[in-house]
Amino acid sequence: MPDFVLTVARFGFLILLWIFVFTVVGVIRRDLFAGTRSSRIVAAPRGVGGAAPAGRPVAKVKRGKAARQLVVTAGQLAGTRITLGEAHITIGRAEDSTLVITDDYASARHARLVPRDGQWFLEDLGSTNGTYLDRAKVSAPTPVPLGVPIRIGRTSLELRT
Amino acid sequence: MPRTHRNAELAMLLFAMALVAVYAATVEATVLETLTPRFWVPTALLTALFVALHMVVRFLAPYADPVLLPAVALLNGIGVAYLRRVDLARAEPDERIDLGLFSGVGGRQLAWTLLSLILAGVLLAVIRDHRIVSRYAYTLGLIGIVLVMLPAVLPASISEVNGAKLWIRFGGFSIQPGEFAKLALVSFFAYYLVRKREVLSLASKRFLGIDFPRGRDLGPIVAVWLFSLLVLVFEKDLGTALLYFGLFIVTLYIATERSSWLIIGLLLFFGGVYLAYVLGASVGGPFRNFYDRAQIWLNPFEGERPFNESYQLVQSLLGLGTGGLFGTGPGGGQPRFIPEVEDDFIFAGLGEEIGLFGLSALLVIYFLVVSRGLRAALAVRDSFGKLVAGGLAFTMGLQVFVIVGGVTGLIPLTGQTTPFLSAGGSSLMANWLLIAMLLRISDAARRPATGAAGGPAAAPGAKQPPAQLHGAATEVIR
Amino acid sequence: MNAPLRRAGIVIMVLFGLLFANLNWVQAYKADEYRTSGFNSRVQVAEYDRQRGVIEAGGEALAESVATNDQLKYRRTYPLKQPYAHVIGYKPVNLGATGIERSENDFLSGESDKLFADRVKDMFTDDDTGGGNVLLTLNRRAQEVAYEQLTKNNGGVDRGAAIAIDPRTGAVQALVSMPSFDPNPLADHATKKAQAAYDELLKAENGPLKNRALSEVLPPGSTFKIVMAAAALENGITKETSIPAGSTYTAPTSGAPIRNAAPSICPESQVTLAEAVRESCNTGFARLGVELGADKLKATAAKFGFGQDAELTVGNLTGGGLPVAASETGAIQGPDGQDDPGALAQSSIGQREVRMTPLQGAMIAAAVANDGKQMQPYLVQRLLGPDRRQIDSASPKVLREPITPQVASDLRDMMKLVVENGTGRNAAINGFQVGGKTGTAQTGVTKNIGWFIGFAIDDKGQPVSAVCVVLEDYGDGGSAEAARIAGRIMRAAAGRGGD
Repeated sequence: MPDFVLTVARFGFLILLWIFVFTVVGVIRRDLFAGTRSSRIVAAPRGVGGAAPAGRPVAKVKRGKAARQLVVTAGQLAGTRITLGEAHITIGRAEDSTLVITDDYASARHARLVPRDGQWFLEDLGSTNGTYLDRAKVSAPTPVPLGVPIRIGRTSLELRT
Repeated sequence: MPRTHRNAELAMLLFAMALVAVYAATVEATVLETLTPRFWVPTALLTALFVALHMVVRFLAPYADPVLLPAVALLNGIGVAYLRRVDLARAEPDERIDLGLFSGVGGRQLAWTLLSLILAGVLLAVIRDHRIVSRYAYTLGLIGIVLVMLPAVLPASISEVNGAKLWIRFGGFSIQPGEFAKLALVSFFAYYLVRKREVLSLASKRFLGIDFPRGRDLGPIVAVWLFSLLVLVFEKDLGTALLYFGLFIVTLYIATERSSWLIIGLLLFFGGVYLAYVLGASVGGPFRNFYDRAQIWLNPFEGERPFNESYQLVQSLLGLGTGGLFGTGPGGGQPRFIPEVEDDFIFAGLGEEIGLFGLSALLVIYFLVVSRGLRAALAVRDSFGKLVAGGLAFTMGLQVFVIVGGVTGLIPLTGQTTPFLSAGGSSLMANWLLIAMLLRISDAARRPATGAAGGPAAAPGAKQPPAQLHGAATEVIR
Repeated sequence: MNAPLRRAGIVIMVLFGLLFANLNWVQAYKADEYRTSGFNSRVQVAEYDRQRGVIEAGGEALAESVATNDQLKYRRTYPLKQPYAHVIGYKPVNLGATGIERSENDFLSGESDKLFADRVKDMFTDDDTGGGNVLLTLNRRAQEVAYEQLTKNNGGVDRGAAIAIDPRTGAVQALVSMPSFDPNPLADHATKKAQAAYDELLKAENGPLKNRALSEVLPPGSTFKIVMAAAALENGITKETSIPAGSTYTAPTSGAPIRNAAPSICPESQVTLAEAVRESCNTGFARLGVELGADKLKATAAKFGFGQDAELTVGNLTGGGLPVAASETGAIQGPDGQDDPGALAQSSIGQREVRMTPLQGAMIAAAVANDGKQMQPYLVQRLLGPDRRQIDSASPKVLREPITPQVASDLRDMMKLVVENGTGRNAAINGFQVGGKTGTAQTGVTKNIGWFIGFAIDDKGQPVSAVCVVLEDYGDGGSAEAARIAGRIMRAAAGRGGD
C-alpha cells in the first residue's frame, strides 16, 4: 500500500472524526434552538385524557392572540419553556406535576392552568403560600393575560405566544 | 408534534460506522500492507447490531435523545477496531490473515458488544418507565453492596488480577461485579434521596453558617457508602473508591441543593488524600502504596523509575508524545510498548495513532454523551429520574476524567476502564445498561406528555408505576 | 434540582477542559521530548525498520545491516571486527552510538535531507529503500597492517595508536587504537546482553573503548623538536646554523639538568640544527627553546594546531566526525606563575605540560611533507545513495599553513636524515624517501612512551603518506619499534604491500 494512500487515510480519518463531532453538535443545536422542540417540555398533564380530545383542537380559537408557551422567568427553573397544548398544566413540587418546581415556598400541588375557549385560567390548588397573578392573590380561577407574571414562591411564570 | 430525530440518529450512526470502517481499513493497510477481503466484516456486524438497537429505540423509546446512541456507538466501534489492531500487532506474521471474527481481544470485545447491546435492548423493553426501578430500590441497594463485596470476600485466587481484588473469575471468563454495582447504587441513592428530600432540605442544623442535614436522615446512605469504601480498601482499588465517593457527593448535592455537602465532600476528599500522602511518607504501611503512586505521578522520569514503578505511566506518556498532533495513523503505532494497552491504557494507545487531534475529538464525544445525560436529567420531570440520570451521567464523566487524567499524567493513576473503549465485558455491559437507562430517561423527558403517562404504560403487560412511589401519577382534579 | 445539575455539568466541563489542556501539554508541548526520549523504544524500532546503509572502504563492507526475524528488522554487523572498531564505532540498540556510525547517522539511517528525494519516492512506490552508504578514505591494507603490527609489536605492550594520513589531501589512510574491541556484541538486539558487553568493555583495564589516535594526549617527547626546529628556521636559523649543545644543560633558574638520551649524542658544545634533529639532541633544543623564548615556541606550536583543535572532528569535511582532543603546549611557566627558563627548556623537548595526540603528530609530519600546507584530516570520502549514485564527495580543505614551503623543505631534509642515518632508521622503505622523527617521552608514572612521526615521498616526489605511531609504556626502544611500524604502515599506504 503506497504511503501517500495511507497518509490520505490517516488524515481523512481525523477530518471525518471531527466532521462527525460537528454533525453531532449540529443536531444538538437544532434540538435546542429550532422552534418548540424536544428539550423544551411539551406540556400536557397525564391521566386527563377526557379533558384533552385526542383529535384536532375543539375550535381554532383566536389563534393569533392565543398563548402558546408557558415560560419560567424567575426561580430555579428559569428559562424552561412549556409548549401549551389542550391540556391542564399543573404546577407544584409533586413529581407528576407538569411543571415541577423545587421551591421551598411551593406546595406539592400548588396551582394549575386550565384552558377554556382559548383562554388560560389560573387556579390555586389550596397552596400554603398562595398563588399570585402579578400582585393579586388568586383565590378563584382567573384568566391569565399574556405576559403577566404568575408568582409561586420564588418562581415567576408567564404566558407567551 | 415534536420531532423525534430518529432519522438523524440513524444517519449519525451510519456515519460513525463508516468512521470505524475507515479506521479498520487503514489499520490493515498499514500493518498488513494490504487490505484483507474481510476487513469490513467486524464493522458490518457492529453496524447491524447498532442499527438493531436503533430500531429498538425507535419503537420503545421514540423520543429518546438522538445523540447518545451514535456517539457511544462510535466509541465502542473505535474500541473494537483498535483492539483488533492490537491483536494484529501481537499475532505472528503468518497467522495474521486468519484472525477470526471473534478471536483475539478485539473479537471477544465484538462478542461482548453483541451481548451488551442485547442487554441494553432488553432493559429498554422491560423498563418502559424508569420510575419502575425505584420500586426495587432497596433490593438494588442490597445487590449493589453484594456486588461490591463479593470479590473482597472471595479468595484472591479467584478475585485478584494485577493486585486489585475486583474480579470474579471462572473458567475463561472474568467479570468485574463492581461495574454493575454502580448502576444499582445510583438507583438506590436516587430513590432514598427522593424520599428523604424534604426532610433533608428542611430539617437541618445550622453550623458555621452552613446548613447540615441531620445525620440520622442520611444514615442508610452513609452506611452503604462507607461500606462500599471499606470493601474497596480491601480490594485495593483507589479509582473505584474515588468514583463512588464522587457519585455519592453529587447525588446528595443534586437532591438537597445544599452546597455544604459539596464543601464537606471536597474537604474530606482532599484532606484524606493529603493525610494518606503524609502518612505514606512517614509511617508507610497501608498508605505506602498511595504515597508511591503520588511519587510516580509527580516525578515519573526520575532515576530508575521509568524502568520500574513508573514504567506504565512513562510508556503511556511516550506513546502519547510520539503520536503528537496528528498521530502516527491508524495501525502506525507501536501498541506493544504500552503496557495494558487493551485495558487501562487504551487511551494512550489510541493517542499514539490518532494524535491530539483525534483524542480531542474523542474527549468531545465523551463530553457530549455526558452532557446529553445531564440534559435528560434537567428535562425529566420527576426527581427520581433527575437523580438517576444526573448521577449516572456525572459518574461516567468522572470515570473518563479519572482514567484519562491518570493515563496522561494529570492526576495519579488509578486503575479504571475507559468507558466503551477498554476491553472487558463487564465494563461494556454495565456502560451500555447505563446508556439504555439514559435513553429511557431522556425519552421520558422529551416525550410530549399527551395521553400516556411517562411511557407507553398502557401497553398490556407493562408494569404500572408503583402506587407507593412518592409523587406517583395521581392527579387531584377538583 | 436543576441548578445543582447545571453546576454538575459545569464541573464536568471544567474537568474535561483540564483533560484537554493536559493533553495539549503532553502531545504538543512535550511531544518532541517524549518522541525522542531515551526511554522510548519506538525510536529504535523505527530506525531499524529501514535498512541502514553500509560503511565501506576499498570495496569491503565494514558495517552492514542484515535482515532478522525479530522485532527490529535489521541487525548491524561489523564483519571485520577489531581493526576498524574505533573508526566505525558501533550502533547499539539502547546505548549511544560512536564513531562514523554516530557522525553519519542521519545519512546511514536515511533521515538525512540529502536523501529527501528517496523518501519522497518511497511515499509513492511501496518500497522502503535503505539508508545511504558511506565510503571511507581508509586504505584497507594500511589499516590492517597498522592493526596487526601494532598489536604484535615487539615490546608486547598493549596500549598504543597509529594514524596515517595522505599529506596532500588529509584523507585518513589508517587509524588504529590499541587495545581494540569487537563491536558486534554491542549491537546485539538483546539489550541486556549488549549492556553487559558494554559494561565489561568500560571496566576493562586498558580502556579499549577509547580512541587513542584522536582523543588521547600524551607528552610528545622528541617528536616535538620538529616544531622547535620550525620555530628556529622561522627565526633566522638555518639547518646548517650551529646551535649550542653539550652533554648536559641546566636552565638558569631550574636545578634539574637536562641530559641527552645517551652520552654519545651531541657532547660537543656546538652542533648544526640538522645534526641536532638527526641525533635528537636534547641539550641543543633545550637551549634553543630558552633562546627563542616561550612566546615564539607557543606561536609556532599554535600554527601547527597546538591549542587550536578542540572543535576539530575527523569525519566528513562538511561537518561531523570523530571528536579530537586538543594538543597543548601548556603554560610554560614556573610554579610561581612566572615565565620560567626551566619549564621552557623541558617544554622544548616535548616534556613538562606539552601534550599531543597521535593525530597532531601525523598532521605535523603531513604539513612538512606537503610543502607547509596542513590539510584537514577526514574519513568520509564519498556518500552514496541507496542505489549507489554519488551524492557527495569530499573536497580536501587546507586547514592551516603553519610553515613556508622553504621551512617545510628544510624540515624534510632534516627529517630524512633521521631515517637515513639517525634514530629513525627502522622506518626506511625501499624506493621511497622517508623522513621522520622519533620521540621518547617520560611520564614519571609508567615506562617511557615511544613515538614516531614521519612521511614517505615516492619517486615522483609526491608525499604519499604521513604517519604517527605511539606505543605507551614501552620502555627502551619504543621509538625504534614505533618507527618500524610506521614504515610498514607507510609502505602499505603507498601501495607497496604490507610485509
